Amino acid sequence: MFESLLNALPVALQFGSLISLFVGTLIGILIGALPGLNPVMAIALMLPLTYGFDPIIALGLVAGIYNGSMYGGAIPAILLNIPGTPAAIATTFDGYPMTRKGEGGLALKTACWSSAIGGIVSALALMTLAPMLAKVTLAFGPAEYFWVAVFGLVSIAVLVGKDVSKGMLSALLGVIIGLVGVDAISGEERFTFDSLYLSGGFELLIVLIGLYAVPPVLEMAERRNESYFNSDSFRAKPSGGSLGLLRRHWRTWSRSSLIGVAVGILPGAGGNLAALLSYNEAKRKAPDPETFGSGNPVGVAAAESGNSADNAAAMIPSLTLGIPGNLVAALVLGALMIHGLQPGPQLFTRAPDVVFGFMWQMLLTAMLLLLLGGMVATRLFAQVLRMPSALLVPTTLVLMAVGVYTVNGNVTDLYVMLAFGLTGYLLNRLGFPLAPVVLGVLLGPMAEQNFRLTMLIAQNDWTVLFTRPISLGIVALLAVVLLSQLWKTLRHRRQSQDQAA
Amino acid sequence: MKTTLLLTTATVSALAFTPSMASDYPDRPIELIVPAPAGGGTDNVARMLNQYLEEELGQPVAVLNVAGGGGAVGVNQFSRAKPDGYTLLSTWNSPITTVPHLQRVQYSYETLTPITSTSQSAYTLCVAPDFPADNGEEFLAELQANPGKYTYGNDGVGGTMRLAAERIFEAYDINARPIPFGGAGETLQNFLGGHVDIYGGSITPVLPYVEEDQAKCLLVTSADDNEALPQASGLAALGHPELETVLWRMMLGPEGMEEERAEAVADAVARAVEHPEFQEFLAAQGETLNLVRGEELRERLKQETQAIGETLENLGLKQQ
Amino acid sequence: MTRKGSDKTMNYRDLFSGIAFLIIGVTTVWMGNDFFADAAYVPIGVGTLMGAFSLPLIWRGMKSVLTTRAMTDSTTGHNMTTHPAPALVDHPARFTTTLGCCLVYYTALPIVGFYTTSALFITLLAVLLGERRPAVIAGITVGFITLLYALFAVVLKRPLPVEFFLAS
Repeated sequence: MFESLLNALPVALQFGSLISLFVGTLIGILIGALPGLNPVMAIALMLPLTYGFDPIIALGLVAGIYNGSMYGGAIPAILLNIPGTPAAIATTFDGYPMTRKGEGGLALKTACWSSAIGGIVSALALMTLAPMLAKVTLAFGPAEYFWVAVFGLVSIAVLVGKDVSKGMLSALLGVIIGLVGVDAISGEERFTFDSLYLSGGFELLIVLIGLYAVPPVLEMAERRNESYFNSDSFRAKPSGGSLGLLRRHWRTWSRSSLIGVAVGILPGAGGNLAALLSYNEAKRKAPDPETFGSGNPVGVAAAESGNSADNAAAMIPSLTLGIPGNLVAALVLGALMIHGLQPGPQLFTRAPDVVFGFMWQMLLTAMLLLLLGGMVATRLFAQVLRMPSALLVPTTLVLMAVGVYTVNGNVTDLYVMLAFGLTGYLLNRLGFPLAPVVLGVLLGPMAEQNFRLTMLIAQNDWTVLFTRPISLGIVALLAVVLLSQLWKTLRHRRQSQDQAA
Repeated sequence: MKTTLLLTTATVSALAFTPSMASDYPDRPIELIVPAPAGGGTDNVARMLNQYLEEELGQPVAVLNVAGGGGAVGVNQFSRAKPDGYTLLSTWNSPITTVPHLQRVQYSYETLTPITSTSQSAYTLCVAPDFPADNGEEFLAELQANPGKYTYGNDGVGGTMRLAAERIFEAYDINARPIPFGGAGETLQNFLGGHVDIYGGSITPVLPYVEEDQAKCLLVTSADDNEALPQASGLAALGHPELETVLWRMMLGPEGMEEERAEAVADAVARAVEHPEFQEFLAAQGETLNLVRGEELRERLKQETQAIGETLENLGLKQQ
Repeated sequence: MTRKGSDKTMNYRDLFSGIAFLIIGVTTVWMGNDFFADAAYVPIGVGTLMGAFSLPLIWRGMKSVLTTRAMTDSTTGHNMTTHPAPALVDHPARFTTTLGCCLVYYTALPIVGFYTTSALFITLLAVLLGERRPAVIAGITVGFITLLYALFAVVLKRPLPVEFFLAS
């Protein structure tokens, strides 16, 4: 296998492949940076143009757009609190507060390095461990997916903030939002109030843009003659340059990259889950968890390396099993089929140059991010904040409108976005945290569907949730996390009592 | 050749911004709604066909994926579009003939303008190599003998795959437990992992595993046998050709679209499918060409809708 | 607004948001009861939990509203230690202007067409929010719209609402 890997390197390094990687990464960053435009759409549009060429050129474009957009999504998340892609939601938690503190440049640079590192680790995992990890993918049935979702939900305990009941209410509200629509298992309409629009459920990106991006724009609009951002936003240089970043974040990066790869090999669990889990772990492990959410660069590093590490790993089930891990992977499979390559276990032996070449390309484009991301993003996009806020408000609103409109081509989505925006604004002002809402929307339905599938398969026998070895492993991990959190809280409380005495 | 094509589309789209008379349809870009996510089977075929369709129509055709609700979300949105021929729908049969029985929708086969059908393929039922059956007959006998024992993965409550299976099971008095997954990929994952006993879904994803002897496909839901799956029996071979339920694809227009324009699109499709690259692609997907247009297409939709309605009623799944 | 006054409003807010969530929770359970078998588990569970977690909020809000009232009645000049709550809306006029413009924008979008409406929207809202330099407004509007056009119409060919003067 390693021989074919080496043989494929020159294929990935030929001129056409390099050009397509370069162009792809640039397009990817741009696409990711514009809310509503996602890599799936861009790849679907670009692929037909490459049908006449060698498959490796088409795949180079895919790899570039895919990795580029994962970083691109962080740009508006950091600068404007708009998650450019759903996976960038956790990046807003600390990225945007950093911008407001005047550390936007540092946040972008951290995001760029973190994306690159996450992407590199993920590509290495794809290159070396793909067949082995594919076995893990198959071992995960509905019961295991259920526990993964519960694991994510439990991390609400970390995100919940000081006021437990308010945090829980936020999370529950999120679950209810996620439940709206036709139920996939029974076909029954839930909470649709006889509305055809609601029967389709809420689009994740629209909910996220509404909840997160509208409130700061409204706040910006309310201020007159006051600068919303700290003026010298981009003067701040990270101390010690890139090496300093490396020294500061290598622990976070390695932890988050592992989480990203683990989530990536599970089809259906996306980059947003990887980013949220990484963010939680970073916060839990940090000596200063209370600074998270108010502009801690570690939060940005965790979120961005987590979601980028999901990327190449999500290709593992697609390339080895022919089961697409996400929509981009599905497009890659489609592209391979058009070139006459049948995805599945035989792909590695029948077209090693293409498969291993694509893996090299995933690695190369992650490295290219460092070059292009730093150059393009920080210089170009940062100019946005120089606009007078009276113009920044309407242009941001137009950007969100076009982004949301292009998702489905439906004007109703715009009103829905605004409604979620007002909800987010209100929750903010009433002291309810928004992060648990996102977790609820994302993981509530995942937990529910998989729980019910498990029960259907096992004919309502509850014990299967605990008797399968992997399930048991996740439950044990869950218990460890919960107990350690409890222990920490108790010790903290005792210490403060001692001090008081 | 590709570059010239690109250049032509670019110039044409630039010219399209000068208003002109309605008779030279199409004179500006067309929007094609696909009610399924990007990268799925329906989307792949639609996009592949689209390449050649653009050439034939002389206008860019932009694909817009509106997924959700078993296709209902996209078709609902489409049915509200202006019937000027600049918004078209490329769909498979389930959202038109099945979903309206199960959900409230704003359209039916009666309102949408039929343009042309394009291609079709069968579904298949596959089991693990150690399953105690080696052909369609034994397979059905094993299921019959063990009511409620086996689980089969399918593509959801309103999905055509489940109906195709249930129609057969009903005729054979079989009780197998349906497990609804999000699509063929998810079903395959759970089948290979041993979480469900039977794979139910389209043929393409499971083909490599048949070659590797990790799966054996014993039944296809078309009347004819399938060349790609020699071990599987077609329904005619089992003596029940009337139980055929297949997956087929078509292009439709909104209610009230001019016949002239529908004809123009149907002609363009008929020319586009002649491209050898497209036919090769279809063959690799296990699909066959099938062009039925205009009122004949409406008749086909009508018959299928009624047949599925009956099946659903017998299953107790139909919405009142 | 005085410190004490704003503190009181926060308590009222807790009380009212608690009641709002209680209503949502109860409604969810009530609607969930009609769902078929296993489709009902989670809605009922989530609704119940929501009701349960809204109670402490209501209780807390009520208690402090009562104590604040008692204190204002008896004495003056008590120092409150909690933080003052932020006003619900800082600047109602600008807030509603922005919202109003958005609604008009969304309504006009499918009728007038994307590029025209967006250009008008940016200009109008910028003026209403206090930008008074015509050159800056015109420059940024034209630049931004050109950028969007180049990206969506030329490169990506994404369909956006058609301009009224082009529709047939």
